[in-house]
Amino acid sequence: MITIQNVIYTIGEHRILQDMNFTVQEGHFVGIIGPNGCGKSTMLKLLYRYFQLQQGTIVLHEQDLMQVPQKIFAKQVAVVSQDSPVLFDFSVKEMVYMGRTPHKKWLESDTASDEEIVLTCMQRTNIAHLAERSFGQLSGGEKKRVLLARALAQQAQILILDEPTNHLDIEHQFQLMDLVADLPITIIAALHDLNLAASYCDELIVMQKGEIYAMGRSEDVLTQQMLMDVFHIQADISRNPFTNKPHLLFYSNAQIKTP
Amino acid sequence: MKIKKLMILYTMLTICLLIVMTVAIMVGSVGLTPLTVWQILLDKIGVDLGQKVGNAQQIIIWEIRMPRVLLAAIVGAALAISGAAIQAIVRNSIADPYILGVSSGASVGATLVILVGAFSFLGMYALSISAFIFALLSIVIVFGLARVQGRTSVIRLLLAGIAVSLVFSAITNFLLMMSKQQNAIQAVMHWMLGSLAGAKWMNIWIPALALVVVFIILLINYRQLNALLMGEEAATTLGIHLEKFRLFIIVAVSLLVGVVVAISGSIGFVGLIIPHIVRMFVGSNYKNVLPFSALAGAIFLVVADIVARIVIAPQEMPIGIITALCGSPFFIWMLRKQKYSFGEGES
Repeated sequence: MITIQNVIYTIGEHRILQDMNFTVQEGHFVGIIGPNGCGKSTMLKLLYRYFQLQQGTIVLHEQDLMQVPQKIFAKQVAVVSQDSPVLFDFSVKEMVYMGRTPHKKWLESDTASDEEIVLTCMQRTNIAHLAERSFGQLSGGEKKRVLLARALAQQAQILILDEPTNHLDIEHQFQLMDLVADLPITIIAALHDLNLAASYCDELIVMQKGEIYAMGRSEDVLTQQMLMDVFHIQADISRNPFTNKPHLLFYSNAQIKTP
Repeated sequence: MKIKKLMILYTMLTICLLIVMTVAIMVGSVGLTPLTVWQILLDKIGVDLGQKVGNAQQIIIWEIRMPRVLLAAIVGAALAISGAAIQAIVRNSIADPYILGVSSGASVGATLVILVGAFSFLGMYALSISAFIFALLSIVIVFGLARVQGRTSVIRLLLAGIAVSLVFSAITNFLLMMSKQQNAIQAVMHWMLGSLAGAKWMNIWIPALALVVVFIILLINYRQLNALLMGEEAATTLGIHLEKFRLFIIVAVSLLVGVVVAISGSIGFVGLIIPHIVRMFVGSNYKNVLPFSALAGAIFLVVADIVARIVIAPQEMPIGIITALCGSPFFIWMLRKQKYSFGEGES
């Protein structure tokens, strides 16, 4: 369980997060949605400790997040962040092996069990056939899957994803979400595609200008009022007949054809 | 990279290093055969072959040429692994071991000793000790400047390194300009361009020890170095304490470079190009980059020293001129290759 309490974050004069309070239950898939600049990424960066917490507390498994040593933290929380350019050339397998870094002691070499974990993670993310390819030469979608495999290889109980479906075609978007949703671990993801968020997440947190506008089950959160207030977009909300999840049909007034 | 292929490459490079070292011992005003060289070497390490070689030859090989060749190998290996490590730490493929002002700092120290006679109470070690102290001084200043509000940013570190280097170079140049002693000026120039002529059994054990220690430190941290190349954010999420780790590695590497520069002057280029050449063959995984850089750096500098000794014999060419003259064309040729991306990611 992760509890975020009274988290405020400012950069210079600008207050990025006003007062964040929420709890993520173990095993849940929580989606954070909100327009650009609403503070989603900042919240995630605080969660995975790339940013220093300024005010408030984040408690992970009854332990103050800031007190956990970096290496132990990396065994508990794995991250697929937005595009991080990878310098120099590594093979796909080498990349996935890096996920084992926090588990390794100083003089320990890679063991058979590491190899097995790496292979399993590559198979799960459907990149086993790319093992010896150079990471730099892969397509955007393949790279994303490699980074996910690396995060999985950390064998953490919490996985944080920052816009994981960016740059992916529709097939790979669903493939990735299927895979992630299937994991028996806690997942916190910032998502842009509201329909994807609606169909996969157990819970949604809607952020606006550094604050939580609403949170709860997607059925309760995704309302026409919320979409108007937060995203300034009109939408028709129905049920997806195949998944029985909310389905949003967006339109802007300018497009409406009057007969 | 398959293990078998790597082992073949290791063996090839090790044999290559032994060959060039043998050749380096053979070459000189007194010509020697490889047989004599190995007879004496084996004799010295306790293998009795029954045959005795002349005393003069023994002295030339064991007391004069051997320490020098070993120093060449040590310095080459040290600069190459330092360059590789620094490139990972600052995530920049044009970084070299002197990026933190080590060489310009050391130059001031050396110049003070040669021109002004500073530290004369230290006798024959004055030059090395003074160079080392000033190398350390520059690292401390650079770190002090790069640290703002308790955080050391890489870009500040690089820029502070450049700024401090410029100041130290200016001091060296000022001292040179004010000096009237032609010989001393020549000596300073020679020192700054690098020379291995000062090698003795007595003084090569310090760089040798520093090399071994730092090499081990880097190698047991190869996973962390790899992770750093993934970017700061990714490195953090892989469990690396960026601040602590960077500081630790930079201090270790700078000490090694300081020791090396103090004894051999600032030999350029090795620390920059060798890691790149190595990556072309074995990829970017530091588990392989480090040992191969050490081997390749050693071979490169032993060869460069041979050239330095013979091109204008009986005089010696400063080795820094050789490394740059031989290294640059090769580097330029590499720049034109499509296969290697020089750390741009996309190739």
